[in-house]
Amino acid sequence: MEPVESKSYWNASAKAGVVFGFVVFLISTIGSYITIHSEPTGNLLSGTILASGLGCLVAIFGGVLAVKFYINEYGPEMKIGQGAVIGLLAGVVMAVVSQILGLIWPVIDGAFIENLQAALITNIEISEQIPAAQKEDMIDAIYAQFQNYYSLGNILQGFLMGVVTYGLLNVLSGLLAAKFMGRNPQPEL
Amino acid sequence: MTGNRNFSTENGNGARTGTRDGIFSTGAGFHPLLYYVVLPVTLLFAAVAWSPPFFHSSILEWHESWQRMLFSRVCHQQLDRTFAVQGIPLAVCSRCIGIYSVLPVALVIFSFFSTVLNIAKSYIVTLFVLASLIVIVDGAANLFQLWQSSDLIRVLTGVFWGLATALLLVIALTTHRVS
Repeated sequence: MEPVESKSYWNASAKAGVVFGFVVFLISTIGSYITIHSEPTGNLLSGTILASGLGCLVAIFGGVLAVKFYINEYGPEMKIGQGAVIGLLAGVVMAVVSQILGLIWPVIDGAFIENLQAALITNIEISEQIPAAQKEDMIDAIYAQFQNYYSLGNILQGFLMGVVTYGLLNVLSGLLAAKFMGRNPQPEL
Repeated sequence: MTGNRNFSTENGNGARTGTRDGIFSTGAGFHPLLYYVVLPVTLLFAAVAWSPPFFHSSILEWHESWQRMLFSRVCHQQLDRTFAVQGIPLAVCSRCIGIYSVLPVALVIFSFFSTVLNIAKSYIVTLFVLASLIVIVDGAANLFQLWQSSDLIRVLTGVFWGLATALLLVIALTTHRVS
């Protein structure tokens, strides 16, 4: 019998990471377009904010799908630690894919960043939920955020944040998936 | 604390087995992931979620903070649905702060009752599904403006989901079986 440890996690993690990286990017981009094409109401629950909340719900299933792929490939025998590692790797791939797609999209739609920035700032300007004294601060912050969109520091920071959040959340979902979808390896005689 | 000594040494997860329960006891009975990964991760998330008011003094600083950015992919961080301390919001919304705050505490507490929890495993899975549905339904209803929950309700739904998740994690990371 082949030792469990020699089985590669990368295939399953990469496939699930690419799928969910794309899905997370898609949700985020759709959310951004909802914000851009909506009438500014001042309501802070814009499409981008909605995408963040929905992204969380979706992103945690990356680890589950990766474990499912692993089970399809090698069978259900796995330790929960393996599930955690598979989830972590899926989260890392997810962060890389969503980050790269997020950098490519504004090149395809040249007006994307400008339109999104304008929509967010307009919403803040007419919002009644933010005290007047804080509006200018918020607008300055959003302006600075978009000005630095393609800076190396911003890209690295986005990647690092993605790895930490997606990686760690998928550690949890991966180990739970391994526990409930997998089967404990039988000890060798 | 369940000082159980009547379980077999079957260990299906490649970790040590032992004779006691509880996270602060001998360390036996739980997968090492609990101590070295899950608990530190949940503590880290809770600490970071609460930290912005202690490090920042304006909304601008908050908006540019790494704490906000860390959670920006997984929480809407809407200002009117986020608790603030002296005018500075926390890094996550009221529902998420309930989840992140209760998770590490519940993990520690529930680990003392892992034997009982493993017996009630099927109920706990049902509880987790129920808690998830409550969060999804309340979140969706708020989103589509069917009703608006107060921050207290949002925190409570978050706490409930956090408790259910902690129960599930404790079951998943228990390495012994009750004989």
